[in-house]
Amino acid sequence: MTETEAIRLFKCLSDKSRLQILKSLAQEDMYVERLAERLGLTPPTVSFHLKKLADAGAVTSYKSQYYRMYALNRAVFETRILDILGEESDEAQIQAQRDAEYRRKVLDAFLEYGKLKSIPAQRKKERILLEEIVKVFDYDRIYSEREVNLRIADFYDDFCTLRRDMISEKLMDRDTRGYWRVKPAP
Amino acid sequence: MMEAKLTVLDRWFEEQIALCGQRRQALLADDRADEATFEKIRANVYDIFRTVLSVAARTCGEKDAAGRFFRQRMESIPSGWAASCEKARQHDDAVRLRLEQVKLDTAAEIRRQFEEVWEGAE
Repeated sequence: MTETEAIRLFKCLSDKSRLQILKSLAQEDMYVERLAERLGLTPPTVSFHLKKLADAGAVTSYKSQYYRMYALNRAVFETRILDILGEESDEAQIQAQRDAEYRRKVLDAFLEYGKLKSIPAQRKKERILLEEIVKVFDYDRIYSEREVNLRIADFYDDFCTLRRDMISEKLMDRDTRGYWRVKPAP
Repeated sequence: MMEAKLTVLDRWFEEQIALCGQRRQALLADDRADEATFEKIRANVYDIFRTVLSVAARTCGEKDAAGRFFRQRMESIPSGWAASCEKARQHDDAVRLRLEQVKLDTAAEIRRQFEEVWEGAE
């Protein structure tokens, strides 16, 4: 478990309602309404907590007949806290984690359900979003301008600006044959 | 007459905001921070419509026009929350769904209370 994962899990656990949900799931797998009844919470509130627990990796879910059942992710809770504390975290790893966290924040802020809300004014942030969007293109393939536009338009209506910015950021390149995704320098 | 109704509603808003504050403190003391946030959101919604009502009274001056103004805002303001709620439902985003639902439930409660007082016996 990385430091970021551990922090997310511990933050998630520091809530009485979520702890009560986990205690119930430690006994047996349950569906939302059953948990709500046991804990005196409304089903939407239980769903809210379960989503947070699932995002932190503490619970999993599966479909069973008409219900979605929730289960404790026992592997996470079998991890010894001492093992987490004993994990090496060198500066490069910490920096990489910070970068990943920053990227995630930028993506969360500007992408909503896979759609770009607006083009960031800051170049650094736009670069992060372009790096994410360019993933829809395969390496070693030439795309026509129309193909490029169609794929980018899935993210944002102003596909021309994004297409040009991808070229200027050297994420894509073009010549008379068409466009292609540039491989990052090794 | 409108003044009396405004006073009743203003007092009701004040009570609801105070109740939210009490519940929020109790939930925080019980280590239920997210549910405490729901109470803060509820209090904010009460506060928004309390302000809308006072603007309605100040700008419209008479009961029917003020009622129309308030009802129109009661439609327009939550419409963004409803859209966001629907989007969250489509994407199975239980966290966002709950937060938007809290706002919509509170707005519906305010609407009921408003109609009861505004259209009730003088």
